[in-house]
Amino acid sequence: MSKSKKYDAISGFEGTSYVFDFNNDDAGKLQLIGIWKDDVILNPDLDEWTTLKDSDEALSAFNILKNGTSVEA
Amino acid sequence: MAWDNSINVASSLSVKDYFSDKAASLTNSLNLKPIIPNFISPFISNAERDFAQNSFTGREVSVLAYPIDIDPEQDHLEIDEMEYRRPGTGKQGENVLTGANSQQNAGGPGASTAADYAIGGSIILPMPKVTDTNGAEWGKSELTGDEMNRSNRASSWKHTDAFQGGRDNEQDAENISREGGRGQQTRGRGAGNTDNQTNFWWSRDLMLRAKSVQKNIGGNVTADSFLARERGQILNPNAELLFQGPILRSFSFSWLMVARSQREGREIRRIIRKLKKGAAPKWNNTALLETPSIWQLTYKSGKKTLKTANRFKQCALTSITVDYAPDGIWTAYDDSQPVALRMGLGFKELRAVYETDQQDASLNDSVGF
Repeated sequence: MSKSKKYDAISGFEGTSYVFDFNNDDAGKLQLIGIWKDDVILNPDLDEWTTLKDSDEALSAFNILKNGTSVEA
Repeated sequence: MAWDNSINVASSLSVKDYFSDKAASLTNSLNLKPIIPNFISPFISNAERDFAQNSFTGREVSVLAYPIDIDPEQDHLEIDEMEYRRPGTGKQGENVLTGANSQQNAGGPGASTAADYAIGGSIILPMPKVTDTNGAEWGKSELTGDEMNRSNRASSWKHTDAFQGGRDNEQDAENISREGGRGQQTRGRGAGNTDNQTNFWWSRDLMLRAKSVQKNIGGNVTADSFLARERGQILNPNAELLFQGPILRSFSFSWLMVARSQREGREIRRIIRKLKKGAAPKWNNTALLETPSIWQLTYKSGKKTLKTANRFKQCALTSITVDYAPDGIWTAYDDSQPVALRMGLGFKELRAVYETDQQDASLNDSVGF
């Protein structure tokens, strides 16, 4: 179980901080399992969840946790 | 390592399960609300209640509870901290108190050594394992025939001086000792006689002679061993079980305290510190120390005292033990609060329980103290 850093400037959601929560599936592959909005777990049924899942920040967080920060640079 | 252009997302079901789990955990934590802060025991008067409420705004919280959302209407143990105060001192100093409730004697039924207000507030804890042990101190008492004779003479109204009895017997012993074998011959004539009086004197002779042997020879030779070897008899100790005094009851409690939130962890720490503080002697100066706080324990349901469990007299907190790793391994949250700890308290009552206490009308229909 790994959490990303806080992102508080996601396009369309400025002023709110989000944290992406990842775990590993049975095969050991990293996967997004949840999103935290201002330290409260976000309901996956909301459109907000879907939008955030597809955001650049979610992709960045995924790659950083999967590969490490050096790859991003 | 390749930079991915898309992310893996857990299945919809897994994501929803994760959300439900985290949301429930968060909601549970938010629902852990402290009990009403001014929930004070009903025996405290309005003035005392005000005092306790005022103290709530100070450094100490007047009512601490574990679990913090405990329902006071359910059975629980309330521990009230009180200042130790001898009767007739302090605010009560104007009263002239005598008998069982005086400055020099606060041991009788109904006596109190608590100040007339609760200074330290209360601690609410779940019902522990409830046991009580009542009784009195009984012990074996032995009195040889000679000692019994002296006691009889000392307690007899015919003898005005108790010590005179002892002196008479000592004289008897010396006389018989001097008689030696002669005494056995003269008094021995009655040995075969069935007359009780003769038997008594014959036995008395033997007893005094045995004691004389013990005194003169010493070492491993006692009156009993001499008689046992000589005649296969020993001195009759006339053993009886006699009342020797009241007992002061002790109570031990233990609670496993699990912090379900940071706030509950903080409450647990406050409870432990409050008990440690109350149990510690109070520094006065290099010459004197003040008595630690005393505690009134009450099993309650709401504001009613339980009739189905024992009552307590005022108690001293004699021991506090806290096992911060009850499972043998240090396990803590992010803030280093142990996940679980075990707190043990040892109380001892300040006064004995007397028949008068058990006969109190307010105890009708209850199990008493």
